[in-house]
Amino acid sequence: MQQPLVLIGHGLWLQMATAIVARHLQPFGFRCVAVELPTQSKEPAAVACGPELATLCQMLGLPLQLLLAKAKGTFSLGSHYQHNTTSWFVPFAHYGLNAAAAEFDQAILQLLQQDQSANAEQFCIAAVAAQQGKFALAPANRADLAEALSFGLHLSTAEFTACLKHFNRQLGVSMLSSQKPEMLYDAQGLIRSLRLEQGNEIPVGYCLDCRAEAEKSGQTLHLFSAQDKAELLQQPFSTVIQTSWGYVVRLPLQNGSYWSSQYSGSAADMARIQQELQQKTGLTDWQLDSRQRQAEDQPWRGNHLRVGQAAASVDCPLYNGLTALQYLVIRWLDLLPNQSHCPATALMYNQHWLQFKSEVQDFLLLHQQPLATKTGRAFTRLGRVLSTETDAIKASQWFGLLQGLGLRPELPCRLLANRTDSEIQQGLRQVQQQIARLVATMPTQADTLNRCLQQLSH
Amino acid sequence: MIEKIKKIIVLGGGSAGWMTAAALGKVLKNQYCQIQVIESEQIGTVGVGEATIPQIMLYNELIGLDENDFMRRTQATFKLGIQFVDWQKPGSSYFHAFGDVGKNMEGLQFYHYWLKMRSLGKAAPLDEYTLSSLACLEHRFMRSMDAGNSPLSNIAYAFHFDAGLFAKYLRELAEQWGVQRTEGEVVEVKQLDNGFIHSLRLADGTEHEADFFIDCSGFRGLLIEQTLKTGYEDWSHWLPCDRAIAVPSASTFEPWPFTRATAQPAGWQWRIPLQHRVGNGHVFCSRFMSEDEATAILLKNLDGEALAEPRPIRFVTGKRKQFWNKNCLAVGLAGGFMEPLESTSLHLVQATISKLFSFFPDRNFAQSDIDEFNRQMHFDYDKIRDFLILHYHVTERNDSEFWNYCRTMSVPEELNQKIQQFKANGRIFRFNNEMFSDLSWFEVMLGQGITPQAYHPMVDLFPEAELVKRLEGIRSVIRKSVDYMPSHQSFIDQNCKAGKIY
Repeated sequence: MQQPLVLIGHGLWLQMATAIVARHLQPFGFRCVAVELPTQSKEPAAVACGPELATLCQMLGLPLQLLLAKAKGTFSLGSHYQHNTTSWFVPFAHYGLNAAAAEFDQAILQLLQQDQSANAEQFCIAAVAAQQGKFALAPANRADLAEALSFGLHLSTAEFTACLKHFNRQLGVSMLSSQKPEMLYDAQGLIRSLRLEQGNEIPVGYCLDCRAEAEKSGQTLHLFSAQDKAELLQQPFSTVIQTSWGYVVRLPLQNGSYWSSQYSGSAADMARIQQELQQKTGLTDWQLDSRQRQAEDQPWRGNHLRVGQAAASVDCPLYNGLTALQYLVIRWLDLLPNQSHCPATALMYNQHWLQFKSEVQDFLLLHQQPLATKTGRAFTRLGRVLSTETDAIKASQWFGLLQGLGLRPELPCRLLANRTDSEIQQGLRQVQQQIARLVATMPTQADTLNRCLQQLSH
Repeated sequence: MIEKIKKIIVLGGGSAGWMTAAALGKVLKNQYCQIQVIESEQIGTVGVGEATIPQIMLYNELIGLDENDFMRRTQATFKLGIQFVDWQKPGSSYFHAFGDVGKNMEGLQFYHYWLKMRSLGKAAPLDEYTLSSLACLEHRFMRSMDAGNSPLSNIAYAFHFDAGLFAKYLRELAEQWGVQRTEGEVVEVKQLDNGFIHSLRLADGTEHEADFFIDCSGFRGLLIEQTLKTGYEDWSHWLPCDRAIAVPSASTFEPWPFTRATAQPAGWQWRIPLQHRVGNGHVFCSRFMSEDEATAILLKNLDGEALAEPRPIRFVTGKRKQFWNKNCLAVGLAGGFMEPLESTSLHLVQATISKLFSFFPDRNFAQSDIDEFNRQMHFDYDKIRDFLILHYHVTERNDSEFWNYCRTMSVPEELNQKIQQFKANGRIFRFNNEMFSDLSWFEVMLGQGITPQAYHPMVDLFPEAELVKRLEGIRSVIRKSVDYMPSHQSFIDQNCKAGKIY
């Protein structure tokens, strides 16, 4: 590909996509140009990134410690859900000590059926550590612990963006800005170039469009957000509190927390929603931002990839669209055609995106109407999480949410039939004790964070 | 309210029937519900599913098989892959080997590097970077050992075994675990008003009721099709072979640790080495070749003397429209058949059993569970089907009507996309749960003659001289590892040698 890769958009999504693409392709002589455009909607002040961020940072050569320091980051082992009468934890990591332990989740469900006072969290290292405000980075020789303590980060959006922008500049990405660029097409309908205001014309090999806004009007979503100053270093997790319309989510940073909640109903309800938010959080200063979203089912068309619009269609406080954007960009890089346009590749890419999106949507719908989803119904019958075709949601997240919502299988697990109840309970007790011992020796999140920041200053 | 299943009948006692019964017996221990197998010695079994793929280990673990005992009892040999001879064109040959190909570097599959170096004429044949292929070529075998990063730590293998002995072995185990066997031929299937199966009446007049029926009656699908009229999706336009002739022959040399599939003018011929004999068969399309001609080709190509009369088998490739219908689950050939080219028949039996445990029903038979079970089974069948079609469709053979048909036939759109994508960019795109890995797709697409026009651009990150060095390093490690492996025969002799039968 002789022509440059042009990325357009704004803020975090533009910088993240640029970093991934530039880090991968600039060493081979691909030229990357990022064009910053104005945005109509404000970005959330903080983002929750899942465990894929650690892998991504490794790939980019961007130290996690740097992000923690610059973007006021904290660690996240998952999400703590609070409903009216119950609470539970949805971890990134697996339950039990061994990710491959057959039917361990089923043993937990069997115990939960028999003992109403039991909870699943006690069998998950991440959940137990989170409850105690603890967090540790697993030693390099303990892949098992690293897996059991799989973590993400909460980061301040503005600082995270600045960090990536700096990184992109260091990589040699050309950074331009434009108020209203014009796309010029060739006879085949491919973008030939991007014309900026001053008459500059940038030739385009591929255009990665990171804009979240729909070109046409779509569904209007209202995002309520607020910030508080309370330090929550004893909480290495996000908090998800149920409301009458959905959820409000708190992401703790080093210097306070960011709250957000999304509402898609009538504007007439805003006062009531503000009131309930105030009641649930004790915060009075809620900002309201509205945005238009439209489904993007074919993000790859010709040489134009609408990755921003696609990611935005699943972006909400319960699911960070950045994760979807990263998936879309990495998937594309994995398939990056060399000289030739291959329609079959774009078709397969779009099919995979549809699958990814449908798994995220299923996960989101589960929060509201578990039994309206196939996954919820299957779990209620069989205690099984249906097999998924993409990595959009981790198996532990499905399981954690389903069991936390109180769904219990009607039918017992037949593969545990040759174990007596006491054998199963004894096995679970052993795992629980081992987890308790492990967590007892772990440092607090605050200690780990301090150590990371000190390492950086040295 | 759970209405517990009190009794399960498994109809048919071939490999599928006894695999199912043994797994049910082992897991349910006959305490949860009664398990009965009804089979008739008058009705033969197909019994040619003699080769497996590494996923068979999951089944063996489930029922707690002692591998060496199982090997001895079934006259088994080890299998490291399949050699495809004459598929791309007469005279060609390649391995679809189990396990890794080379060593991935910088997060990229090894084959991208290899494609680049091959295009520069600086790579050795792929087999020299693939432990299983090289071990196949030199007839070596061993199980994985604890050897750190060495390829010897991760040897993927499967088995070849005598399907009749396998069924007999499983029967013994199943009976020890409380499964009851009834000899008899079904003469009537009684249904309830809602169409559910109520009971089976046997030729001796006895009637056997159950809550759940597992149809392992083979191609005829006595319960799933003849009784429930479930319907069959015919794939013979994509997988046109519809006949097979099977014959065992005497071993004339030490068994190879691989299956050989040799293309013939209207199909292909298998060769499966066992400890006591060699299993042979000729799969062909009756539209393009007569049975006599197919038999003659098979007999002409045997290594040793034929040990029995050639046995004809008829089939229609395809799958049931539902694998699970009402209170009847079709397992094995009763559920569908895609010919034995990639040894997937027993794998599909095992996949069905595994899903059965995940979706184990009560007497309410929730339709939503059944629908999801069927969706997952259709996914498995459809993906395997596409992989099999690939072998026939991507070929340069133009030496017979059969191959002209296969080469020019239209194929499922998803397969077409996969082929186009590989041709253009050397990439393989697949969903998480597809059975065949990207390495399998790579080996077969390459082996069938597709040369990608490009490789992953990130490969160019390495200077050419560095790549030459790295590839040579990998090749040398593979060479040394294979040198360390004993011969297949001596490994068998030391660990699992079976008694003589013939």
